[in-house]
Amino acid sequence: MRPTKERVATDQLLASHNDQPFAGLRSGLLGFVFIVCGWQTALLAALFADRVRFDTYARAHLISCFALAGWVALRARGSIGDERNSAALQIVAWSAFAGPFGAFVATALAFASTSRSRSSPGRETQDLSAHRPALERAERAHVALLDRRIRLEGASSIRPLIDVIAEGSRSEKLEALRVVYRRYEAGLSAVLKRALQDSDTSVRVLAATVMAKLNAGYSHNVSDRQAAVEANPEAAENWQNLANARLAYAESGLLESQRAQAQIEFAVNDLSRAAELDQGGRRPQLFSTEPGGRA
Amino acid sequence: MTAGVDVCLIVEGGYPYVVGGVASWADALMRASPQLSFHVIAISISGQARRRNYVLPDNAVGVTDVILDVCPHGRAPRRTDGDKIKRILRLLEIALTSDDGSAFEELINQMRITGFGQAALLDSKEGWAAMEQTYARLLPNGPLLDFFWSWRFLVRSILAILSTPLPQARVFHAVATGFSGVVGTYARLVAKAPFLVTEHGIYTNERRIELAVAEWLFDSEASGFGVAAEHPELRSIWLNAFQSFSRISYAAADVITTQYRANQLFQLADGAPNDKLRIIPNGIDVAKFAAIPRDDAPRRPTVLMLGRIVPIKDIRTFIIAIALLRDLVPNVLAILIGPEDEDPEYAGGCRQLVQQLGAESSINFLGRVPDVLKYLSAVDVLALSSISEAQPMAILEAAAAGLPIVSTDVGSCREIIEGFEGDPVGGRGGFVVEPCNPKAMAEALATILLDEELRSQMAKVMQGRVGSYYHKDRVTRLYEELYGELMAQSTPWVDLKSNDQYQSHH
Repeated sequence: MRPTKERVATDQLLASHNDQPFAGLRSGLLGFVFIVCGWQTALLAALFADRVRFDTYARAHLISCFALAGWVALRARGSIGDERNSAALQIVAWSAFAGPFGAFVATALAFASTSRSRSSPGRETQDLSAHRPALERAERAHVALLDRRIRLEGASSIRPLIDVIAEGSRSEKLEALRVVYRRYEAGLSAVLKRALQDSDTSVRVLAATVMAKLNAGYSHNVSDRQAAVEANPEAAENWQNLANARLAYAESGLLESQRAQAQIEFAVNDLSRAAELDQGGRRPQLFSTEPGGRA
Repeated sequence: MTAGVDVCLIVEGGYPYVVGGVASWADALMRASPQLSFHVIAISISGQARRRNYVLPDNAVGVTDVILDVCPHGRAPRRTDGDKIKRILRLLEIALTSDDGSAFEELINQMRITGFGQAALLDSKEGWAAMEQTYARLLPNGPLLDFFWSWRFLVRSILAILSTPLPQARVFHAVATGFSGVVGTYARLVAKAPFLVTEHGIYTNERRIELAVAEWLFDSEASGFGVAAEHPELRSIWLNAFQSFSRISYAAADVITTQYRANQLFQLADGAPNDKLRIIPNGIDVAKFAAIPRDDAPRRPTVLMLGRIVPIKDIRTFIIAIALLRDLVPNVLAILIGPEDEDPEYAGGCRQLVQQLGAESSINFLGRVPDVLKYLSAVDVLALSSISEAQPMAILEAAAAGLPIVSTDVGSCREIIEGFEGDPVGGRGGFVVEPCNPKAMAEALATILLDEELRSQMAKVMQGRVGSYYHKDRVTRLYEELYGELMAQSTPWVDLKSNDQYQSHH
């Protein structure tokens, strides 16, 4: 399946959280800092002690800086995104301009940045990921969405389905009804009801088809469970399943209030019957926590 | 093969095997003009039972079956055929996606020249490579296997159509666009005979609805709640094919008829040229139905529903409406007449629903009955709860028999019941309610059942309207005039056997 824009954005975000650029920064850079500072200090001391001439000092300084920069750049090619390489480059650059003083300043800045990052809000998610590798991708994305660190790209361009039915073109309306059918939940019943009154016959027909198919699905569920009850009326679980099917139909938003109320009343009777059977001790599954015995 | 007929009627998935509105219409059309001879091309698939449910009228001289998933094998491809195969498959792709008729015409020519069939176009390496390229163009990142089977069916259906043994007919009359329309177009281009398309329901609309709720189609749901067609889905492959079939049919047709104005707007939107469009309504034998004596014996207030027990008739809504109606008219009786064998599961579900609602004493399923007229005389109102119709014969017949109607707002039901612009008969002959609204239907039925004067007044309106506009004689005359007009354009019969090189290959 092709990744969606949202998924790509989420992946990028999660990838950046999963990287741990600062974890080995101190230890990895420390040796590098010692070498650079030691070399720069020794070179400067030799200059002040007239051990070397200024032109020799300048050549040695520049050659060593270029060599170090080249070495760091070569390392960086093999590990893109490694914060240690960029910190090392900064140190080399600063030391090229200001000798050992520049190297000290750059080192201080790099370590200060590390400390800030460790105390930033994203750190919590990073730790979560690090310590719970089994955490599902969806769960991590969910957390990221909840604390508003990522947004669904293009979400604002998706119009509410009811608006599409009210103002969309014919093909958009038909597409909206297809979406309603595929992803039906009670809240979408208003979209169907609005579409049933559309001025375009084909929209009304599709809305009616969708509504009929959804009704048939719920009704079929009730009928199936009724048949199960008739086959084994002494099973409390059958009565409870029937009540659940009736309640699901009542909550579907497809029924007008009178019929929904009737389904609820039937469901209450079914549940009472289930409770009677349960109390009689013939079938103990009512209110059990096992699958199929929802309380 | 038939020696030569006046009209070749092309029907898909119906007559003479499946009982239904369009099949009944086709039967009545042939019987109404005994002086004309007919041949029927019946389009179906191999899985469909071909047991005749209609006795052919005397003037129907033969039936040719076109089985869409059975196509000619054709000659085996040679090494030098690669480019020809690619060219034909490219034409097929256009015909199945965005044709205006020109690619299809070129396709016919190429097929006649090369004699290719399934062996070269689907079972060869070139065929497979072309399918992969088409897949990459039409359904990138979609399920290849699903695309493969869809593509294979569509290509085979075109190949089957292009191998149809055409009868010698002076006019080819397709009763829909879709596959019927493509067969008619093939006849128009090969036999050079005039081609008439009659659409009862709009083919592309009906297929779009079917595809929107089809369970057999894979849907990636990549678009989420968005309605912009950014992500091509398998259903778009089918829908594009059906839309292309309509354009091909409209382009080739000499005349395009439908029963009412609203349908013409859809035809125009689908690319039908305005100057080819005409309206010819359905017609019934008004005298026969008007002569039915009313049965005035005391009876329970009775509602009649005539139609197949299938989902498109939304029988469930009717059943629920009757259950609700019992609160307003306690002793009401509803009679359902219609075959239950087309969708036995749905029919079983309807019977279960009656039990679920405790309405067994108020609803009778009679199935198929030998004499519907007897029931038309002994009921008070006809109800129709369909979610899709064109111009239902059941309404016209009940109206002619003097019954008020309660119908859902589908097809031309509103103009039959409430009248239309230029209607010589004023007033309403019943009520039109929104589909899937059992409460509205129950209230409308109660209004009629509880008011005898209103019932009688509506019955008169219906009889008057049907008698003046939907009279069989008028409609038969319109079709005969149209056939005459087209036959006058037709050239002498072409000897198809000697000309059709493509057929000779098989």
